[in-house]
Amino acid sequence: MKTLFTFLLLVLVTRVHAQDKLNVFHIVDSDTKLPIPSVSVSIIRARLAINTENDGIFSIPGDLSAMRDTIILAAQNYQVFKSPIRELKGRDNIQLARVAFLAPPKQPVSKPDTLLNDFNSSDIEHYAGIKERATPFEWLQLAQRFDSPKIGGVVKNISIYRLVFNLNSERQMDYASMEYTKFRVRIYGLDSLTHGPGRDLCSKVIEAKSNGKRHIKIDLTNLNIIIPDPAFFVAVEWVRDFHNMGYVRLNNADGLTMDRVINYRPAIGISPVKTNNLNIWGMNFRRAWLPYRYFSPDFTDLAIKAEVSK
Amino acid sequence: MKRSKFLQLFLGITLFLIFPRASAQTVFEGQIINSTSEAPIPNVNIRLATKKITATSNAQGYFRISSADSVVKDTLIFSSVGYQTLKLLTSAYQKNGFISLVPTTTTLEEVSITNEKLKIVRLNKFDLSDIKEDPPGAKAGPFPVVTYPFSPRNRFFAKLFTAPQGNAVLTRVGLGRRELDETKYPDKPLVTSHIKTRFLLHVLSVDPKTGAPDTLLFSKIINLTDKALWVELDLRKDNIIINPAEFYIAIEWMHIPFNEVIKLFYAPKVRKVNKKGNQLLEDVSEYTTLYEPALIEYKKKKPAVSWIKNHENKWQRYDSAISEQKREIALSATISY
Repeated sequence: MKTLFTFLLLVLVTRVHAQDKLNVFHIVDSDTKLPIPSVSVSIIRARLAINTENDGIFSIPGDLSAMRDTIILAAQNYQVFKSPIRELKGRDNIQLARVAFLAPPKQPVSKPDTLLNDFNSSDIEHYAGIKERATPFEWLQLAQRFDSPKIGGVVKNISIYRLVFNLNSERQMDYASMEYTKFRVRIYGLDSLTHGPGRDLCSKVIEAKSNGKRHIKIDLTNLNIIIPDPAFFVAVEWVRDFHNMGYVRLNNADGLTMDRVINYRPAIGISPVKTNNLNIWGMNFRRAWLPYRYFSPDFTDLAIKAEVSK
Repeated sequence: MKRSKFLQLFLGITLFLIFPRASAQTVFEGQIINSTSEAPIPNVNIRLATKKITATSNAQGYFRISSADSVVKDTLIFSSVGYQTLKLLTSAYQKNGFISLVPTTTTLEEVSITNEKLKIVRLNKFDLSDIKEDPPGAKAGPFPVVTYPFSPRNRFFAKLFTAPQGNAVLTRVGLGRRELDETKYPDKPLVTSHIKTRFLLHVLSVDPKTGAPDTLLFSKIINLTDKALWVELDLRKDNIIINPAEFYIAIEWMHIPFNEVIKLFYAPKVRKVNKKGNQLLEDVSEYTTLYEPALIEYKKKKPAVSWIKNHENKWQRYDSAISEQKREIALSATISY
């Protein structure tokens, strides 16, 4: 129901008529044939992106053979599937192949730690993940770059700060249920060519949930995430599904009218500490990593801290 | 097994009671002003007596001093050359309030004759009482202090100033700026904290036909980095000579990420549609982006002539959003001639 609802919204955006055929697809693991949960679905030219629910189902209304667009499906630990939409005609399932993950040998975690990208959390004033009239937020992931204090060190925990409003009165408590969010955390190595995020350093899906908490600390000690490069990245992957769906109010130029458009939680904090280099990277709907310059040059880092063993 | 869990719980509670919470921190901040002239005082030495923590007020008279302890029973000491030292018990401290220091020497206000020829005048002046917020819990009027313009559509605000004569030097501009405080205004929509801001300050001539702002005479980017309610912009080094007696001072908002403030509303979302086709709704977040700075608008019987630019980029006369009350934006200019 929620998936269909989400795509009913897409119908409105893509202006496909409601009486058109609804093409339903099941995304499954090519080996086990089991549904893959929370798959990222992007339609490039239409500038749309959602995530499936746990059932791995999504739907596209209309005549697929008439569509001139490209669809990309991606899930952690699976090969990315990219295809012209018209080639999906006649199919009802899409199989994704697993990617082999070579787990590093288990490493003992030493006691001395280094806290990377430290800042005073009470000084955070800016947040990424909210659409603006002039700049839509069309990013699937945002990643913070960290310089490794030592190659072979272990990522022990991370702290992520997100937008939550302080609730002080009984009336404001009505807002509490609206603050719910869940998102995924990805840990990447360094791509030596682009100097952006490279391969996954963790095969386990790390899902963070938060109802009213601004600070989300995730213990990674048991995941044996070993840093193989001079730098590594911690990314927030938005789960663009029904649960995270909220709105933004975009004011029109006349100053009197406004549009209400879909926006997915969470909004991630921007570090108040400015550094010498831009350390934020974004993955766009084509799944390409690019430097995220929206807050540059005033701000250079996400409000994400990482603690690693020395 | 049960005993083990009991011991764990007992140990947890004991540790909680013994050790103070590491995250607890007490911050004292506010703006120090001259009790006579109400002007902000920079370079005041602030000290927490027992903790021996010190800070100095900035150009806006703003200070921020923090203690690692959650509850601080101490005395704040404010000292500066030319002022009586003030000792304030931390229990009497009011969040983000004004601290008044009494000058030890007489200073002249409003019109100071520094020599036979040079006069200094503050035009469209506002007072501390105009911009001061009501203390928490105080019974305020229906519209205690209004903030303007806290709307994404407003980009320019201009206010008319009339000097006693032409060829004056603009030395300072005063602003009343406000941060919405959720604890004081619990029923207002929620907004994110917004201390730092950047905007453009303009000086414009008067269109002789329409009386509207006309030619740009001076422009400067202003950066603010604290929560000071009373902002004094020192323009003495800019050497701004204004030939006509009448001129406008304008604020231009910069719609850049640096100035973004997020405001929370809520909106209904369809959660379920039952078999009869009825929709079950739930409230979800609806954000909107606003831009700093937020200026203070206060009651005034005869407000100065002011203009804003509309969506067609044309100047139009500005009237307060609250039509039944005469109000004015806290914006003053100090000139010498």
